[in-house]
Amino acid sequence: MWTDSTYALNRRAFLRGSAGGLGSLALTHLLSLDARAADKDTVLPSPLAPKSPHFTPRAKSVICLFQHGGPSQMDLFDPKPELNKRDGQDHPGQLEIHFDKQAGKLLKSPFVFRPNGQSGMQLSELLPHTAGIADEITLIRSMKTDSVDHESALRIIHSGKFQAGRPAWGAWVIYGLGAERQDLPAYVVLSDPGGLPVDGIHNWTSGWLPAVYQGTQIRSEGTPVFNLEPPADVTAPARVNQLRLLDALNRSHLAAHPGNSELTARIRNFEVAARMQTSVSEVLDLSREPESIKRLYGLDHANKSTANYARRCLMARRLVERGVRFVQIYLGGQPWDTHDKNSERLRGLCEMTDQPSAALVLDLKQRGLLDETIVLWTGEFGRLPVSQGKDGRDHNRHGFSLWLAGGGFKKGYVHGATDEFGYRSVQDVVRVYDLHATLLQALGLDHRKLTYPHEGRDDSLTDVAITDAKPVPELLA
Amino acid sequence: MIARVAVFRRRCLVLIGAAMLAGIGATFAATNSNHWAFQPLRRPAVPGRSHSTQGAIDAFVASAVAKEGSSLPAQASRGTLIRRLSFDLRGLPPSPEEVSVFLEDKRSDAYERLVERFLGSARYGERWGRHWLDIAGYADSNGYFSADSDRPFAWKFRDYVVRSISSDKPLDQFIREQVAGDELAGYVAGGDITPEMIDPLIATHFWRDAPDGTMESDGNPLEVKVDKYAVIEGSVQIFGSAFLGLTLQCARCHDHKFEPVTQEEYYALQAILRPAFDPNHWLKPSERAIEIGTRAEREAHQRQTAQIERDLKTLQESLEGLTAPFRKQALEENLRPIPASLREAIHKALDTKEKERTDAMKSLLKTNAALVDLNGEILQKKFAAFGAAADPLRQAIKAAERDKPIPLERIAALFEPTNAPPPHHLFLRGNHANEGKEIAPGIPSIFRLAFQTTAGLPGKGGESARFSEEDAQSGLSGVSAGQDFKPVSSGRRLALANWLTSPQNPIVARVLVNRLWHYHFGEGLASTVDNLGQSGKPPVAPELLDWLASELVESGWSLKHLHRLILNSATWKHGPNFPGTGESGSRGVTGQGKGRREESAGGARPVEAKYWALIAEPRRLDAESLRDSMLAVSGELDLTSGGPYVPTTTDQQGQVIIDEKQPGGRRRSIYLQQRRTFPVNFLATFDGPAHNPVCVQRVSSTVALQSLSMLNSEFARARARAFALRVLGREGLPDKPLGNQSRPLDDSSSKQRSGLTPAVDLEGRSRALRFAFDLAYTRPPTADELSAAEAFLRKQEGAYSGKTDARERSWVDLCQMLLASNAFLYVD
Repeated sequence: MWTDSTYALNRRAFLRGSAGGLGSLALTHLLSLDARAADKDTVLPSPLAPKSPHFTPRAKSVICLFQHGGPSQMDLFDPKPELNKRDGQDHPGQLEIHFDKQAGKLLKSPFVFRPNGQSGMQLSELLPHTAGIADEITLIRSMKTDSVDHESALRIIHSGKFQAGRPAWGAWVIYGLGAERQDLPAYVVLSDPGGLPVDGIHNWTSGWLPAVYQGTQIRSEGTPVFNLEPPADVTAPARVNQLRLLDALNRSHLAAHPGNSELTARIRNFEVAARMQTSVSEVLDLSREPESIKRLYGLDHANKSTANYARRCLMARRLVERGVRFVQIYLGGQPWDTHDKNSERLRGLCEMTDQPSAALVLDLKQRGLLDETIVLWTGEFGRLPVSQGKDGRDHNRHGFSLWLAGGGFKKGYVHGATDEFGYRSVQDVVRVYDLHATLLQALGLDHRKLTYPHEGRDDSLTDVAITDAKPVPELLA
Repeated sequence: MIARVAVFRRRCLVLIGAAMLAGIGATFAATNSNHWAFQPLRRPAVPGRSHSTQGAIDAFVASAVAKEGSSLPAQASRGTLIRRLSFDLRGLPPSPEEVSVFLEDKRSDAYERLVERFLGSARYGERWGRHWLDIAGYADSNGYFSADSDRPFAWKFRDYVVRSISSDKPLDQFIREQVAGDELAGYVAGGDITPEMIDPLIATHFWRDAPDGTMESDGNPLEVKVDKYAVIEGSVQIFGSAFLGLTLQCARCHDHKFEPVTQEEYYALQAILRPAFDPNHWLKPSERAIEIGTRAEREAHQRQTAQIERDLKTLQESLEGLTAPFRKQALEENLRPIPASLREAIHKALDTKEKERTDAMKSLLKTNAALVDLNGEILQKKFAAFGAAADPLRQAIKAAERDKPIPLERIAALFEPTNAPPPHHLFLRGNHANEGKEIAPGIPSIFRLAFQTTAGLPGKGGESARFSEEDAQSGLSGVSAGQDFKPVSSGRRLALANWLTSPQNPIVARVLVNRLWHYHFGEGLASTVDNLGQSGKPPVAPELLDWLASELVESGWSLKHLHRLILNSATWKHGPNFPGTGESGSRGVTGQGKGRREESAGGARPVEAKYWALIAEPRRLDAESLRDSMLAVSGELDLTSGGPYVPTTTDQQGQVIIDEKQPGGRRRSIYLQQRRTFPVNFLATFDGPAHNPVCVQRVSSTVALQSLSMLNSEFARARARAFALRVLGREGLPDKPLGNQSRPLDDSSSKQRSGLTPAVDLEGRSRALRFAFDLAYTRPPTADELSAAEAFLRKQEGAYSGKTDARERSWVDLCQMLLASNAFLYVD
């Protein structure tokens, strides 16, 4: 039995209790959940209850490291000797230029590419840490999308079409698979403390799917989730009394509305909310991570933005480790949009993202989590092989590169190719729609069957009637 | 004179527009469809014996349930009815006073009177106006880009909608004003705006509701073009779902796969808007704001303002001329005692223009400010002569500033900025860089079906024949050049408006009554309220839907007439045993309770409902009703109507909130700033809509974040504190709450009150509890609830023992749980 003296525990210590420790046990007991929780969870339907996939999944969760702005493939992932040879000459063919009248001559990459690992995957000198995981990743060099405009292209890669207001793919995944844990948000967004990315909250909207499936922003500094902490004037025992009163009121109301699933779901959510306070604080508490892990990610990095990106990568690992289904990490604004000073800016951006991104893959692997977690590193499109102005590169939707790790994707594998200048994907082209279909497949979901009735028809992430999306079997091991 | 010109103009426009729209049919292959929604509207016979109009709904329903083996339900109790009615019509709970008056009203028509009272309430206009704002995609910001810039005049459209709904403006007029108010009023760009033109012009803001990023476009030509077309596309989307009950966006890139709408027909609809949204003569959102007044008035205002500004300039120059020698003299006197080198440096700094001064100069002047800063006040003290000379000038400046005319009121409206309607082209595969053939304005030919029985389109037959021949010849170019008046507006939208509201138009009335049913019952007779097309769900009661649609048209498009028919029906007044409602309240996301559970992926999708399960009870409050009702129960709701929005702000956590210290911080939610990207967090958490571009149908979700909000948000706690103070007034304490309601109850502020009633007065406590339940639930507590609440108060005071305000805290905690409970959020 819980006694008043137990409350004398310092509340912070109470919260710091590990998942299996005193904190959550105590609260579970307090809420009388111990006996009822199990059968309640099976009896009461919830929109977030775990659901069986369409077929055996390779992966359970996704971490998307989103690189806003359009990373330059020929400087990072896609070596082009012919481009370097013909530096300063005219591009021989037609180019789709975004910024009119600013297109210049072919612009070589100043960066050296080297083969890495057993696979011999060629990567730029800007990515020494990614080079270290070359044998873990699938590198796609033949991506293609349908817009050279940031917002439209962001909507395509996040929601399958350029129109605004469609559900983001994280929302589709939660809709399809539900949540493994009810006391943590299933779809978490770790945005940059410096500001939202371009297109802001639209990047993780549930669109016309129910709002329950939208991404929840968790801040990496300060209060992680809105309204997580009880009001200062409500003590812990007083809160427990409150929850008991609420339960009594709600059960009396439920007796007059038997069998109403929404009412029961709401009753349970108050208990979940009370538990969230402990579970969210626990999952975000990096203080117990060993120093070696912090160094691996770069939490100690002299560059503050590297250290924060590292922090969020480590948080992402802790989140999926505890059953969070979908994590998206964003950078503020659109830093990869290198319309000028392309080379110089790429150096800084790689310094920020290379080490933590690679560390995440290594850390997941050493914990045995990589097999069931997809890590995706991508932007919304690529860049042109010609210069823009003096030293920039313009948008390019015809060819770009991205990498994937874990979750059943091949290891040390390079897929597809662009033309000799890196402008257009020409071999084994993967459209964004095909990527979506493949990712859903890896999660055990048939993209044609994962539909939701919208405006009178069954719509989906890939809307196959329009996009003709197909999974790419070659990408999966 | 002005009025006659306007009438003439209007006639020209109707005829020109109608001719254009009529022409379009010929360019498409005749479309045919047996689909119900496109068929001519005929009033179905009411089943059973002859019925009054009032009994018709129940007759249709009785005949339908009879087929399912049941009969009309028993009626809900009076207490349930007043709560249900109050939320339905006002979005707020009834006050305990209203409840007791109603319960004691023994007249046979007490309920009908209550319906009338609520329909006459200003709160009704706000509640039902909000529904229309959803349909129109209303927001106070431009959306589209993350910048999400302000729309400073949008609120005038919001108020126009609330006013129109409150006054039961005939819906056909309401629609005509929104679609073509400028043409209806005879407005031409730059022309007169007389008082009677203001409302129709504000109404055209309907077309300004779609997201519009053209103030933030980055200058790249294709992007600028795409951003402009996105405004037209958003507007057509809103138009299609609002009036045609069709989702048209698919046809932007290709012929519609599910509806009889070709790509060309989609662009023909766009072409109607093209003259107002001409990418070659684009008006950015800020450029659509126009000043009210006749041209002469506006020019006079401008002249007057300019004159006064000239006067002011002259006066200020004279004052400066007068001051200069005095200042010079004072400066010399001030600088005389200081060393010559410093004096020289100061003079040099003063002689240098302010912008060109070096940092050293600036710092020098700052250090010696006491010597060199010589304002009028200082000079006046020093030189009596200065004061005497400057005073009259100063008075004159003050007077001139007073006389400056206040700026003219501005509104944001839609109108056509150019004279000759520009040609419109379709885009091949929807690609904005790939222009296809020219497209004339028109409406999808499927909608001509219902008009085939009569000749031509509305506006043609009844109008004076004098114009028709001329009109036919002039076509798109307007009235012949020989006339002294040439309409600037093309008349396309006016022709569209007249077509929409023609009694022969079958789709608009069907769309409207289906939505009306949806708002009253929680689900439309056809459940896809924005899609009555072939891909939408068929109606469960097609005859009832058509009967209501006919009744709407025949009643002169009176919304309140239909409210009365529905609210006074036994169907609406159903009690808890209505067939199908046993397994209810499970629509939306948790919709797995209706006998069918899908275990596999995506199992949370809404499940097909049978007819009577459509009437969902209990019904959940939407986000705005929830916030407003919490404020109403706590006694804090500010019922000020209309005007500019109450701005949102971001708190320390980064949460979008309403600062309650500002005036209007506790007004109804409809009056809060509605930014597309930064909605008020509390409302967004409870599924308040994000109009991107439009909220086609609200969903409601049940998530733990909502629980966190009810348990821990400052908004919920503040309501609980005020609610508790209000309730404590009934326990034997003063009726008026003491102190600042929004301040936490702390030891110092509540000592005084605790001192008043040291002993627990049990009778007072149960009186207070009863009042709390009356306020929150519109009913007294059940025996179980009462004992749970009393036990809670005892326990909670123990938990707070040692605190001098333990009793108040306990009540606050109790009141918060009442607001968090299901009986508050759901209405039977």
